This record gives sequence, structure tokens and C-alpha cells, in this order.
Amino acid sequence: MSRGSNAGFDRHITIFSPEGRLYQVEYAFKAIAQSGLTSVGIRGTDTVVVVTQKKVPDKLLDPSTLTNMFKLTPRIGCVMTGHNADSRSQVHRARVEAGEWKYKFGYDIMADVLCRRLADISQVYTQNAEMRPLGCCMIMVAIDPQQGPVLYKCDPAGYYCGFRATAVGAKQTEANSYLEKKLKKKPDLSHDRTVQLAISCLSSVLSMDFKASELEIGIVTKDKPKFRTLSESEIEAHLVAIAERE
Amino acid sequence: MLHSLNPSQQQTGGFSFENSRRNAVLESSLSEVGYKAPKARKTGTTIAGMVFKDGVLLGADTRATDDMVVADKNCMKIHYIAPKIYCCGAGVAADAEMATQMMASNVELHMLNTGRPPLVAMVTRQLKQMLFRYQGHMGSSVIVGGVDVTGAHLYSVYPHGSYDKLPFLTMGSGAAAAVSVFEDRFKPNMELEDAKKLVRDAIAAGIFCDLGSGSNVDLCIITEAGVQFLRGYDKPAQKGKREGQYRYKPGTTAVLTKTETPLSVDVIDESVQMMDTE
Repeated sequence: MSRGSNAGFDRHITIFSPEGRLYQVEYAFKAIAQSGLTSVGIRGTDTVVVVTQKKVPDKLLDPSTLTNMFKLTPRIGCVMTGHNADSRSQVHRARVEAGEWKYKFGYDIMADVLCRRLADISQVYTQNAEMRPLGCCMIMVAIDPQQGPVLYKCDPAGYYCGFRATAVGAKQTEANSYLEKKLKKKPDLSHDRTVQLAISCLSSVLSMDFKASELEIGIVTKDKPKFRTLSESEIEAHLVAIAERE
Repeated sequence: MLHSLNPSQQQTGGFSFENSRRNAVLESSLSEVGYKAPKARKTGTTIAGMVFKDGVLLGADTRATDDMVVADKNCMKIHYIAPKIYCCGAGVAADAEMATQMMASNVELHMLNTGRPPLVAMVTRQLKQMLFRYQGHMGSSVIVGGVDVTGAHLYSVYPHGSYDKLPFLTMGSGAAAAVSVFEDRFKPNMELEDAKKLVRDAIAAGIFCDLGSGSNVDLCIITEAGVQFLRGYDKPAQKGKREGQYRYKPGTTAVLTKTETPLSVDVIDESVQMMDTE
């Protein structure tokens, strides 16, 4: 039997351990939490929103050049959580895939197809011994022309799924349970309520009150299906609305 | 990665032009002696398509020609691509057949990949990219028509890869005859029966006025509800019925005289040839 004959390499490269686990993939998940940031995505009736923290670690850093929100196509946006460099690589690959699709087929790629493509690429990394999985997780948002608002998440294991709401990052378990509680009654989420729920989720899980400069929010709505990030004044307006409600 | 980023990659498959110069020399030397190189069988053809109130209507004749000889009196020029997308092919018969079959399998894979019904624009895009890649050597002109989530669409793609998107289109050697009928009587949002008559008349114009087209009219009606394929919808060029007969009853011609002359034949030579039965 080949039990234990991996000579302990199962922790170093992406081959199976005797228990049937891929340690490298599990370590990749831990790497996502290393960045210290948490991101939340929520799908409402006509809006999908992704929120992430904006932590500027260095006073000399120019905050306008630091972002985790990326536009993959005019209508599909994403937030990346985890390793910065791996995130940029995955975003670039997603843009290339979307561009090739548009060239080959003549119409814009759909969010679920793009997510599946990236998940398939991530799966290859979990099978090749010479390549490590990427230490980042992508939450993708779009307004699908037939299905309406959609929210997809794609992780280093090559797993992808559509969500009503999800969280990724350092405090993802707490954030996910908060979202489960809030969405249990299946409330009707208007545009403002969706954004404010996402912000409140982050503040309650991280136990801090945010300033507008400490958050990044990306949205797509049915009226304006192009992906865009909210400006500081718009974020401020939502924060004020949350404070007034309490 | 995008193909444009790998310029050094050798293009495998497709046409090889290594023997072009040799072929040109051979052809010129043949024509000096008076022989012609054999030509591929073309379909001659009149194909037409139009967008009407409920969807798209495609029509085609059914004659395949081999230079000046009719090779097939009832061939099928309307090909299936997807449940609600059909395509008429003109030009070289084999090229049209292969191109549409490749499109059909690509579309099937695409449908399985996306889980959604295909778009007519996607079929046109892939078809024109393939034809451009072959630089016009794939001699098939096609009319692609169908109904998808965005509505009813009609495209024509030429052998070099250019395409047109119009409410009515004709292709093939009988295109001029057919398009004249369309130009005269086409109106947007026609009813089904009027549209069928119009396409039938356009194809009939091609059948009668063009030598490369003939036999029957095939129609294909594609609507949101589904597809109706009318093979042999109209047979305008029926074979005429023979009025008289060239067979005469025995006794029609009177026998006047009868003479018998016996011939005597002698055996001169007898030879036996063994047959090769091994």
C-alpha cells in the first residue's frame, strides 16, 4: 500500500495526504485571512453590493492608489480578499478570459460563466504539483440580463457558487453568521437597505465605527447595471443613515 | 492567453500553401495541352431569408451543379445549427456543409457550457472568424437566421468573412433574381402567409432565371414557438407530361415481301484459351 510513502511531501506540494486532504489548498485558505481584511457581499432585489475595509498601513501611502475593488467587464465587478499580488494576477486573468469571450462569441460574458472559468483555472493549480494555489478569494457581482442581480464567490480550492450573501476574510465566520441571522426572515432588500446591511455587518463583526475613508463599496443596480465604486460622499450618506436609524 | 500575444507560435492545421507554386505551374502546362484541372462541385443556388412579424423565414432551391451538369436534383441546402437557428449554404457544397456542421457542434458545446440557448450573433461571429482564417479558400456563402432571447435576427456571411445584418437577404448565383422580388414586395412585419408567398416567389425567380438553381423550393419557418421545416414546399419546375408515344403496335407497318438467304459457314480454326481461375 502506498500509505505514508509520500515521504511527508503532502504538506509541501498539492498531492493528497493519506487522509485524502490537500494541505496546500487548506493553507491557501489560511493565507486569505493573513491579509487581515474582511469583505462582505449581499444581493438585494435590484442591487448587489460588495464592501471591504480599506486599511492604509503606511502614513506615506497614497490611499487613492490602494484598492481591492476591480472591474472585470463594464458590467461585472469584483472584490478581492487575500494576497495582493495573487489578487492582481487573478483579476488580470479574469479580464483576459472575458475579453477573449467577447472576441470569440460577440457578446459579453455572463458572471456565472466567468466565475466557473476562474474556478476551473484555480482547480488546475490544486492538481499541478509545480504550481501553488492562489491565496485569494474573489466575490463577483453583476446584473445578469436574464437572471437579474447575481453574487458569485470563487475560492482557491476551485469551488464556486452563487450566494444571497457571503463574507470572506479574517472574520468570515462571524460575518457569515451575522448575515444568516439577518437574512433568515428573507427581508425585501431595497438598494439603500442592502448597502446599509453590508456596512452594519462589517461594523458589528469588527466592532468598530467606520469613517467614509475606511470603506470601499462597489455596487451594480438594475437601473445602472455598470459596476461602479461609491464615492466618499455617498459612503458618508449611508453611514449617516445607519447612525440615524440607531 | 490571447493569440496576438504569441506571434511566434506556428499555426498548425488549416490550408498549407506549400504546393501553390507547383500547382500554378502544372495548371499552366496542362492548359497548353488543352486540359482543364477538375473543379469542385458548387451548388449554384438561390438562397433567401427574411425577418417577418413572428420570426425568421429561410428559403432555398434544391439543385446542386457540377459545372454544367445537375449533380443532385433534390439536395438540402438549409442546415440545422441550433434548435432555433438554421443556416442556408451556397457556394462549394462540401465547404458549406462542413462549415455549418462545425458551427452546430461549437454551438452545442457553448450551450452546455453556459446553460443558456445560443445567440444568432454568436454563430455569425464564429463563422466569420473561421472563414476569414481560411482567406476565402473555403468557398461557402451562408445566410444564418434564427430566434434567440434578444429577438429574430438574419445575417449573411461571405466566403472571405464579411457579414451583413439586414431584414432580407439573398445569396448564391440566383441572388440577383431573388433580391429583385424582395426589393419590390418586401415590407417590415409581414404576416406568415404573405411572407411564405414572398420567399417562395423570390426562390422561384432564381429557379427560372438562373441556370445554377432549379427543382423545388424548401422553406424553414423559425419563430419563438418553434421551427417548421417545409421540405419541397413548392415544385415549380415539374417535369412535363409526355403527350404522345413513339411505340407502335405490331402490324402498323405493312409487310410487302419476305426473302430468306441461307449462309453456309465452315469451321476454319479452333483454339482453346485457359481461364485464370486462381
